[in-house]
Amino acid sequence: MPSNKVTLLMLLMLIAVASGSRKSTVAAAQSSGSGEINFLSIVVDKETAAADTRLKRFLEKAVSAGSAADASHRRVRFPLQTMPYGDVIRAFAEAGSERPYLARITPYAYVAAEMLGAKLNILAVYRSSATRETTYHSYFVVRKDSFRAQVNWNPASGDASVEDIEKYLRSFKTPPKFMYHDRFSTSSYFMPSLYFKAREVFASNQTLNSRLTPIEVERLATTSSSDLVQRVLDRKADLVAVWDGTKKKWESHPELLFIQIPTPVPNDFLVASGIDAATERLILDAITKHPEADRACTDLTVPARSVPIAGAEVRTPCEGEPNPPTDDFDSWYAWDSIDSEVTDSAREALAKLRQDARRRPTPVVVKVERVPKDRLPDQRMEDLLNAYVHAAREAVRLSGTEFVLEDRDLHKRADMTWALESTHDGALKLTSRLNSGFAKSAEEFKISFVDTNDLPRRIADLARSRLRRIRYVWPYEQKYPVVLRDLDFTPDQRVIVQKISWMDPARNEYEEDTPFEAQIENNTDLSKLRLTDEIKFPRNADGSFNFDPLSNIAYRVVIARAPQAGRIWVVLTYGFIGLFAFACAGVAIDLRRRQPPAKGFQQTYQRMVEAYHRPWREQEIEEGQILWCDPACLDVFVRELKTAGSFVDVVKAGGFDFNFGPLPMRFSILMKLGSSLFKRRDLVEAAGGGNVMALDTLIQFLVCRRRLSPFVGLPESGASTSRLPAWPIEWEALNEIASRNFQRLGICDKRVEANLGTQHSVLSGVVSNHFRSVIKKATHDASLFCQTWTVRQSETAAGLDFEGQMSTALLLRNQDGSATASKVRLEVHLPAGCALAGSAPDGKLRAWVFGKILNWSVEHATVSLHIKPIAILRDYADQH
Amino acid sequence: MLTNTKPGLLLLLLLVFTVNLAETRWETSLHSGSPVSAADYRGAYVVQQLEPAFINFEFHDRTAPWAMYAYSISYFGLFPVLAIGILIALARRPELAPFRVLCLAVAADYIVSLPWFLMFPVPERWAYPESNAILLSDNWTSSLIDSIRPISAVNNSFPSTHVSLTVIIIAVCWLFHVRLRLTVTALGLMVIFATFVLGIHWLADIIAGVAVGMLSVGIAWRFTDTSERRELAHESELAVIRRRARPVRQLARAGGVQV
Repeated sequence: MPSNKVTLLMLLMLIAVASGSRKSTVAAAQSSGSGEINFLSIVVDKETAAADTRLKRFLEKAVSAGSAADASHRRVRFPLQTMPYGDVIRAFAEAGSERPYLARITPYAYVAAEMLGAKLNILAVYRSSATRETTYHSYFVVRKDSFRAQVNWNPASGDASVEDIEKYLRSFKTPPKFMYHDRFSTSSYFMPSLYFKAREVFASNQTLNSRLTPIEVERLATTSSSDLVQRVLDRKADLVAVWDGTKKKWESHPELLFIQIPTPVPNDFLVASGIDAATERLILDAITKHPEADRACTDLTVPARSVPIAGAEVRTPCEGEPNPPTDDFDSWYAWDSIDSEVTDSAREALAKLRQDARRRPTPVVVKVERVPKDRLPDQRMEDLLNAYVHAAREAVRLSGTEFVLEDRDLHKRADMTWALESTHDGALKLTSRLNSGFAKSAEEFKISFVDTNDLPRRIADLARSRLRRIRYVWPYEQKYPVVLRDLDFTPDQRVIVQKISWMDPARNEYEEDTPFEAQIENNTDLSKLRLTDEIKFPRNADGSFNFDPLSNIAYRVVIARAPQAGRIWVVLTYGFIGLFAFACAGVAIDLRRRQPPAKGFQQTYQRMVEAYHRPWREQEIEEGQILWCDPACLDVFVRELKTAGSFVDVVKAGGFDFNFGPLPMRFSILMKLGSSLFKRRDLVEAAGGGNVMALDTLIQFLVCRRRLSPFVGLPESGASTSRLPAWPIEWEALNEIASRNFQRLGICDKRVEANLGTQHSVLSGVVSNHFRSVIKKATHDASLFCQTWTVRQSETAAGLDFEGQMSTALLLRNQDGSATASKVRLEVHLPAGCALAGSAPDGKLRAWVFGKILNWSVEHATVSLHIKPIAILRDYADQH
Repeated sequence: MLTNTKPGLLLLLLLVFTVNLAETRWETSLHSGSPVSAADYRGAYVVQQLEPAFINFEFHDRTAPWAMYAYSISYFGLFPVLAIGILIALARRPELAPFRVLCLAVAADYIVSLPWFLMFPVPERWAYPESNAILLSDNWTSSLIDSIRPISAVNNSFPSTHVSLTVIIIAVCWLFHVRLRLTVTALGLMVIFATFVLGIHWLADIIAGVAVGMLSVGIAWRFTDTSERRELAHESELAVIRRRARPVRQLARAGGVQV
């Protein structure tokens, strides 16, 4: 037991020391920028795996040795990770910049990773033992007997060409089977897929039309292309594709025929990502000096370089070696260095591969239409719309996008329709709709322009920047749905996806499925637009997405521009609420604000008259209050008012109702609503509603609408004031003004009685003029005023009289000339025999007279006003 | 004299309206195709350069529908209601001067703006494609803009008449103590904001509109009779008393007033 404890303790110490030393190595390596770098290797056959291990060790050694020159000696580790094509691509595409990687990667995997946003540096490309070049070819593999039987190919007539493959595929009654091992394999899948696409060969179990060639596509779960060849031999596949290396192994087989796809592709690359420049330099130096990268011997007799680098490329030939290497990686050559003469063909092949992989977006057929001729008002509009259509057609071409103009002789259907119409100010309204499957998809744009030369540019600009664009899900990726991005604008995260089955791509003929919505996960990624895992995307049994690059089924994605409105719009939108609240508060403050003191003589007088009549606003006339009334005269007066009408009445009758564009402006409804809210009653005649009601509504009407004359008689002292007001009350208005201003000037600190009318004043002229104008108005409009009258009753005449002394004699001017008056006499003429109830025994009666001044005259220093009454009402205050 | 009576002033307004109508018609008739010319675009380019960078009308059409309706009502409905309302309110006053200041200011506004309309034509913001703006009220109906087009040409954007007239209305309300002046101010600001939000006016138009409005009120005030101005101004009562009742003041000084 003790010995066990000691052993355990020693073991723990050993682990601790070991882990500590490892940490220090890594830390040191990281400090010099050449720490632990993952070396990724694609799973292939065992010879390639052995070559990868050899290369990894060579690079580890080279970097360790190189970094030892400027720092303490340390070991740099390149852990080897072997994974399928797709995972290597994702490792690069999704790696953070801080994770360093090295990899030996096939050309299409490199291009795919690059398209998905990986930042990769090609450090080197290898020279193949099989091809003796830095490029290779892909070959279709068929059985000779089948090919001969199907295509009538005769070996004596020469090599078969790729064109024969199309004939071969078409010759099958049921779709022939094409087999591959990985969709990122350049030779086995990508190059054949380009060939198939160009010749409209689709993975489909049925013949869609005579122009399309259906094939059956099956993936073989293997990492070696030799297994694919074996399948052809076993008649389990009709067609496969392999590379030069595999061809070399099998080309002597008598039953197999290899048909070259002419396009060369570069050999595998050594790529780096996230590695510092110093480490990259060390790797490149090592490869430049030792292209063999620890390969024991060379299969190639001719050196790659025309001018050998000193010390490099002195290689032992493999001929005669007891255990020569069987892999294809004869030597490595730096991509961007003096080895360019070796790598030139690979560069060109890579450029072509990039071009093929990132092919142009699928065209979107645009139909341009306008309002039919029979719905146009005139020829001018017809010409205008024709000009618009012409401009829109030009714009499709000028936009430089995937939009192509519909050609009715070619295209079976349009993907997008632009409807053109003229709108206000000569502007063009363009409504863009997707095809019928998208239901409500209209987008409207109004385009202003200078002339018909300017218009195409405007529309093209709109097409580029605002119209929805159509892209397709990249079918190579199976982990998630993704669209390779080639749009400069930030797309809206919400996209619409639609499955379509191509019937005839060249004629834009397809069957469409119901569109569904998906989301872009990160719309700021400039390389790809990764979509959410929508349930409507097809899946395999293992959960991966079943997008098939060789299939005629595609998923198109309608991408709109993200609506990135500036913050100013948020502020301005909600600013309206603020302004509305301000307006509401303004109404409250404005209505609660005390009426400002009257300004000037006119306003002050007017205010006094309004105050005089104010009790009548709320007061309802009772029957007993009416001492006398002339219903006929009352009705005439009411009818006059109704006929003449005021502005308000005209509005109320609908005279100002109109339509403002689409808005029906009905002021009459508002007025009626207001009347009902404020309980305003309409005028009624005595004949219809009785004297009380007629008089009540009439007086209410006149008081509320300020339609009474400003004549208020000679107001007597009320309950609030002890002294007798100065007569006429113009003096009181002046007193009011004087008092207010004395107070404001600080002459006094409370209201004062200036009593301006108590003596002959220079202001009497002002008062005279005003008094005369008031009398004049009272001859037109009805007056309502209260006096303590002397009742005059006799058999021949009846009436009410009042006589008062004016404060100061006034000079009044009428048609007879000027005369000075110091007294006022008011005479109300009543019909003979009229009895007024309620008069005091002394013949005094305090009553309101409602009537008009018939005429006035000045005699013996007395101004006499003759009043024609409509009604005489008992003074409410006096009555109670 | 046209400006000494209310009917005369109304006639003046009618004259301004008619001249504007004729000028707009004439200006529109000059263009055979698009009403916006290359010269107009140059004007728009100039005023766009004056705007700060944060004013970007991209996706302006995504403005909330309720705001679009609210601002459209403000621009096309509220403004005429305010204008007619203040006209009626001042016309009903016994004094002539408020009505006269309003009418003269409107006339001055047009006189000041007209040279700019003719010599510096600037199209409305939405009509300049580089602005990325749309006419927001079109999302409701194009009839709205069509209804004002006879009196407002598309390239008479600078200075903004909507803004200058609104400023006149607000100024007159405060100058003559119209009771609902605070309300009118808030509603007037809505109109001014609407000119911008709807994509009609440039910032320069609005600023110039404010300046022209204030200038017009100043001119109208200047041309109003001095005695009337004094009577109408808040301090006028004292002036009236001083002028008309000088003896009263003497009386007060002499102590002949019962206090």
